[in-house]
Amino acid sequence: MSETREQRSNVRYRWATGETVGAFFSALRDSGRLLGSVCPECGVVACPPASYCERCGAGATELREVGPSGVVMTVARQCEGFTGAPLEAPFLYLLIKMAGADTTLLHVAKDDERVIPGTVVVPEYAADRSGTIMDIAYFRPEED
Amino acid sequence: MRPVAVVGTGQTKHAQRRIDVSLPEMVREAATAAMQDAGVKPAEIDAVVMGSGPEIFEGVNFPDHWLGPAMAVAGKPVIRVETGGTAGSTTGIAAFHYVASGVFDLVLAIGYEKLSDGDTLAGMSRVYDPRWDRDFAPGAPGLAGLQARQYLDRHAHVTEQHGGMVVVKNRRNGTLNSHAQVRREVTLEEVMSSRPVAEPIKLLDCAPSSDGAAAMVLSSERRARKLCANPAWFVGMGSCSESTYAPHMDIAYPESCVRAAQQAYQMAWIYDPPTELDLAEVFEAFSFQELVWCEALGLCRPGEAGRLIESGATGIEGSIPVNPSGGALCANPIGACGLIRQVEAATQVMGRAGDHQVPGAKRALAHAWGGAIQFNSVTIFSSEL
Amino acid sequence: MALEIARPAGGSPVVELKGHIDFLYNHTLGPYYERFFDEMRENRRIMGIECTGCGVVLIPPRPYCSFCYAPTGDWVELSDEGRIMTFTRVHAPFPGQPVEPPYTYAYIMLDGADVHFPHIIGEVDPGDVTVGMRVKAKWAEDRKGTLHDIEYFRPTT
Repeated sequence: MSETREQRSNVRYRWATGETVGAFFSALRDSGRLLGSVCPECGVVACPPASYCERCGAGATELREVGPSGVVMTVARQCEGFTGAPLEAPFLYLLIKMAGADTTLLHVAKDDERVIPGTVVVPEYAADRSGTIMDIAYFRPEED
Repeated sequence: MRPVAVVGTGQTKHAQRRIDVSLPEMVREAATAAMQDAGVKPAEIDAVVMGSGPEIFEGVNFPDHWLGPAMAVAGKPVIRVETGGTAGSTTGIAAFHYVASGVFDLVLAIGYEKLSDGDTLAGMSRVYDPRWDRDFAPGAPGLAGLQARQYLDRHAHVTEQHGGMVVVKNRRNGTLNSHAQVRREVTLEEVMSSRPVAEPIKLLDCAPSSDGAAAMVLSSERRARKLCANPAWFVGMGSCSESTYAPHMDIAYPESCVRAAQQAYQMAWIYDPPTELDLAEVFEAFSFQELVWCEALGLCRPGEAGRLIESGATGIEGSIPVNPSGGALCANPIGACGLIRQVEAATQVMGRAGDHQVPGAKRALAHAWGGAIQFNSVTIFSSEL
Repeated sequence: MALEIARPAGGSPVVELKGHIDFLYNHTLGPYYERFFDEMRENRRIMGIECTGCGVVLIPPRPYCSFCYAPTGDWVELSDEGRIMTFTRVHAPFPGQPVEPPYTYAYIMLDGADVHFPHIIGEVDPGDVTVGMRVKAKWAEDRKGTLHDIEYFRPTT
């Protein structure tokens, strides 16, 4: 068994969001709305939004409200916890197509057998919002 | 290998902090500019090669999955190249091989760095072996200070003043370059009295910290003849690496730089670089490095770089302009820098360098260095095949 | 069913996302560094390794020669004295520095070695340090098996 030498550090970041993603987080923080971007060439509505269309490369500047509900496209159950996990394990990872959008948003839900592909879910907001994706604490079934 | 040309180039407006764009948007800015300059649509690009410094700088691992979509890479091969300071240059060379091989006709090469999103010093400190010299944490300025001291000590005719002259020259050139981050002239007195960082390196001897990207569209000969009236042909290139902690390393006259240049000159049939080249864009992250590279690249003999800059030969109107763009001293997004040197050299021979155009430029050299000064690469562009 | 939206928050438009990444690594030393640092700590010896092909003596020790790629062979005790190849006076702060700047950092060619040894220079006026100056290690009393088992190098005269 070889010796090791420990190196520990903490590096700080401040990731520039750009206007589009900045507007997405501002809207989420200020009024709980979700925005998608619209591609002027192929019409694809992307949520989360971007200032460019990933499919055809065109610039996308129009933002449009999507949701508030979305359809679960796929689910993965995270069985074990890990440092920095968004929820206590076990919890669910979801890819959600928000109403009006053509792409999917990655988020989480509490462990719940009812949440399967096709389930309609809505956001449960965090008590304090600061302009990050965790301003939505998690998604829950619409029927609740 | 078949001929390859640059048919379009693009750069961002480099700045200390491009708060207005995310990293993918910044990369897209340069890529879009290059494709527009080339007159091609994203769908026509066959493959994308992207390069940057270590991922720790931007704090996103495997960034190609995030950046690729900003350049419409869906359905195409994408490869990311990382070779430290030479990343941009190696990216261009890798893209050259993609086209020269015959497998691809149009390739987009893009180099980028968004240093302001992260902590550059923390990133730099991790470049060193954690069991060895990371304990001394000298950073890039420390390494450059060692290099400058060894170089100045060896050559009686070269002084700290000559390093200062490099800054004055490049800063003046930067005022002519609309993409440059730093566009303010300085005097020699200001450079010499700026505060010490790692002696003999002073604050104004150092390149700034930058956000920026540069891109070029590389084309096969067949496509180039249709797309561009005056493409920039790749006529020579060389890449050379040395080991770290190796015997016989000479950071004041690096063998990898000498050999990379020799490989490039041989390929380009250049026998007398100072007369047969019309300009050189070299990666001078620190002022003294421009003097060291001039010698190692054979633009003058060892020990003569002081006289070379004094004579005005490396000024924009001189016989062998060096860094007419202002060089890294005017914009230093590390992973992009090598590609910016290639873009600048290519645009010069294409006659598209605007206010910092060297009149009649036909052959231009681009250089980059990296690591503990053990990576060097050289690319030569010509207006004629 | 109506959504309960928590009290609206406001503020200036979001332009950046702040965060941090914590790194913890345990770097494996490997047998070469292990022996090298054991010798520093236990015996106050700096060890190099000789190349079986071209004969250069390398530090840090390693299994293959960085010059000719032949395997390395015998371990060689180096002197803890040598000459300064180059140096710089570091003023800028940098994560992980051994001492508060300013300090003089140098590449030292120890007698017997063919690769430089990085370290700091002490007990001399910074203005008096020169390329070629002969220096000798000042060993630390409390040694842990790192390069700091030597506090600094000081002029021999």
